[in-house]
Order: sequence, then structure tokens, then C-alpha cells
Amino acid sequence: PDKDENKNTVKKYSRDFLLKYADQFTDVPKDFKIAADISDLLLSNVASHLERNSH
Amino acid sequence: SSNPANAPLLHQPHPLEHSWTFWFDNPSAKSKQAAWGSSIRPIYTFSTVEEFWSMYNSIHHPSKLAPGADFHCFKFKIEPKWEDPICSNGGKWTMTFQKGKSDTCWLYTLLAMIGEQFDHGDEICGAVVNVRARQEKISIWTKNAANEEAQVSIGRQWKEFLDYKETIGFIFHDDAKKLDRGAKNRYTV
Repeated sequence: PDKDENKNTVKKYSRDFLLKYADQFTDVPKDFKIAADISDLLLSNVASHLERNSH
Repeated sequence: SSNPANAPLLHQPHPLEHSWTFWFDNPSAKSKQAAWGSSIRPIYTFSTVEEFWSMYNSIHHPSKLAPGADFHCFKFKIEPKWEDPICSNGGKWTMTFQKGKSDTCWLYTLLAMIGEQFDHGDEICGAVVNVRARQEKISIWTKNAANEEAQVSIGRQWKEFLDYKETIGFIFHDDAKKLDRGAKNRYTV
């Protein structure tokens, strides 16, 4: 209820702030649908991309 | 009593200033000699920090995409094509990377855009990574190529965010349309 964000304020987020959320949202979005012909080209099922957070 | 540090984080979605759409151009469709631009298609539109990560974490990063692939992130309703009415008077800054070396810079480019880190963010249409056999290129597309002050500011800030040391050039889409690879940089930073 104390959200008094000014509507004229641009929603700015620093890289460090955004990166804090990187490993909390790793599942494909629920509403995401992909055509079969490109799913292999585009989708990664491996979680190895999170290794960047290890240092 | 419970330790608040161990309490699960409450997830209030963080809205972004703009909605953004990921577009993918499929290299296998290109080889069928489809008309240019016909194989490009929107993949997903997101408008929160959380949706961005869910998608980004689920897809291949540039080093894992097949040569020929183009992956775009553009503001919602702007198509990553010269013909788009918002892009048509624009241009692009481009950075070049060795094969497999663009992943971090691609991510940092996306984060700078969606986090509204550019002073002239209104000028930005979106970004694209072009994966090729020998190199990867990342470009930021902007709206009003003739607005030198805005373009130079975007180019300078982009290099700063990525700690990119090489000189980068800005090409007008108009020049690229007429001259293809012969188009010369109009601005450099």
C-alpha cells in the first residue's frame, strides 16, 4: 500500500540489481509456446548458463 | 522464532518501463531461399524482470546458436526490419566479437536496455545478435539516425557499459539499403 511510485518516473534498474534475480527464474514462462521447427534451435534445457553466478 | 533471513523472498514482479519482444530468425528456413525477412518471427513478449529471466534462462545464448541465426530483442510493436515505420529513418551501432565470445556482452546489452540505463533510451528500437560461422555481431538499432547527439551518446554509453575498447561505427539504414556492405560509418565513437 505504500507504493507511491510517481507515474512520470522511468523504471530504471541497474545491471547488478537485475542480476540478483537471474537464478530465481529459470523455468520456461508458463504462457510460452514455441513452434516445433525452431524449438531445438532455440531452447536450452541445460542449466549450465547459471555458472556465471559462481564467481 | 524464525530467522527472517531464511524466509522466502516475496515475489512482487518488477515491471519494466517497456514491454520487449524476442524475435528469432531461423537459419534453416533461410536456406530455403525464402524472401528476406519472411523467416523472422516473434518468440515471446515480456514486461517484467521476472519474465525476462524466465525466458533468457530457457534459451540458447549466442555461442550455442547455429551459424546464420539472428536473435533480436525489440520494443513491443517495433519490428526488427528496415521497413518498420519506426526503424525506417534509423540506423545501428555494431560491435564485433570473436566466435563464441559475445554471450556476456549480449546479456549486458539486454540488461542496459530493459533497465533503461541509456540517457537516450527513447531513441532505442532494440538490439540484435547475428551469429555467423566466424564471428558474432551485436547491434543496437535506433530511431532517428540524423540525431547525431543522441546516437553518439548511445554509442558511448554502450561501450562504457560493456567495457568495450574498440572503435564502433554507426550506419544509417538508408545507406545500408542503397549500398549494402558499401555503407560507411556516419558516426564513430
